[in-house]
Amino acid sequence: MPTGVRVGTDVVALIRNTYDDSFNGWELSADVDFDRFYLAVDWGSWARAFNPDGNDYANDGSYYRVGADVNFLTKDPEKNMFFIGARYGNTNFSETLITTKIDPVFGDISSTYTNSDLQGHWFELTTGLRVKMWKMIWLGYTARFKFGLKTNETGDMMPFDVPGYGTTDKQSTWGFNYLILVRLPLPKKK
Amino acid sequence: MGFRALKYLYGPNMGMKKITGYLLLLTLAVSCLDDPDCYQLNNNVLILNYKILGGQNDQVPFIGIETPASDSVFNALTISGSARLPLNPTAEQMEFSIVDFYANHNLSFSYSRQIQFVSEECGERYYYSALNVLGHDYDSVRIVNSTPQPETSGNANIEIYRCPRTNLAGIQFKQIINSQVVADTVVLLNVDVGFSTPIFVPNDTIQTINVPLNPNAATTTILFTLKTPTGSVTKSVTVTYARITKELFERCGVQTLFTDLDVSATDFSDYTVLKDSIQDLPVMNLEVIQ
Repeated sequence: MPTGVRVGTDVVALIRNTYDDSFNGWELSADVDFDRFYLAVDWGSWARAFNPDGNDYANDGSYYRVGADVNFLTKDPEKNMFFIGARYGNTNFSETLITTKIDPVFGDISSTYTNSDLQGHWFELTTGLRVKMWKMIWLGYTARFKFGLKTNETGDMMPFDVPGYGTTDKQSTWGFNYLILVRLPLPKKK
Repeated sequence: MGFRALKYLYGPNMGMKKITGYLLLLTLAVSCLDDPDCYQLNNNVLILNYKILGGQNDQVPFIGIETPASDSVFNALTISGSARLPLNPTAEQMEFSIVDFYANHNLSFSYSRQIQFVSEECGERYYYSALNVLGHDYDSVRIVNSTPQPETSGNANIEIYRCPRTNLAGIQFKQIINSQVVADTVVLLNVDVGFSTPIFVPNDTIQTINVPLNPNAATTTILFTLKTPTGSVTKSVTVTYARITKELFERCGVQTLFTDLDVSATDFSDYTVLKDSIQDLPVMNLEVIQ
């Protein structure tokens, strides 16, 4: 029987909103224990915007991840956690690119490209820590190895940045979340 | 040790709490480094390789390559075995007019293109694929790679074949200095072979030239107008040969082949027959000595 539900948010995303003008997003995370196994779910929002010379790119979307973690600190009295796990990630997003430039051969080029209602999915291997800090307050991190990205675009534009995954220029990529969580104990079975 | 060691390293709880706190700082630092490097990803060049039917590489004396999509002229006045055609990012098919010294050709093709934003530093890139030839008037064309190439690549996309030119004789200019026969460098003002045919005369000093022989006559008299310090001088050489007709390639039909080349008359001081049959690309068949 589960003994508690942890719900929290990614601190990195929240802080990044304050200093990275190109990023706007948040992520919520939750997990629930089944003995040494944890069902984990993440849900987030992600928007990026870049405006270099001659280009105006923006994307916006939401994503979720669902998977399981295995805790290897099974005898810790505080239920602190070192885990290895796996996730399936899925996103729904749109992106727009407006390009305006003077090509040395073909002259003025001005076009607008849009990918709307795109779907993407990928897989992750995860590892990390969850540490009880004070009463119900927990901190932790999750390192993610993301791979196997598939997107369903059919138009003139290839996706650049996939919410929850990142840029598409590599076959695989890394991610990192630093989490602040609240653990809500579940009533014990009588 | 196994995973029990982790509990030892991180426990009781204070060590684990410190590590968890330090990782927050590390995370914020690393998150600033997630922008990709700027790199060249455009594959916006279509590369043509020119060949002679039979497989030998060709050398084409280009006058220029043009497309209605641009004011630029490509490969202008160059001799090359290949041509690099830029792809239009706002279109999915293009037409090129390719003019060389021997003929004007047209080539049209289609392709797929996708744009992708790469980074704030690099801007956008175009990715081209699915190249397909829509039309041409060459003797033969073959797609060897349907994905266009980056600017730095030398890999061909399309091989363009022509029928062999069977009547081009190579003539080498020589002179005698201190009793030695050595290469002569001349400026040709004109070359006349007595029948209508294109003759490629480089606008430069030369030591060799390829001259067409008349397939409808048993001899060809070649008149060279050579530039001299005081003006010009015309010298002739009359080449005799035997002709046979043969179908080398079905696409080319019956062609006239030239053998037993010799010189029956000349006002050069001497001559030597180096090779008495024609090849394509031309070899040196004859040397004339001033």
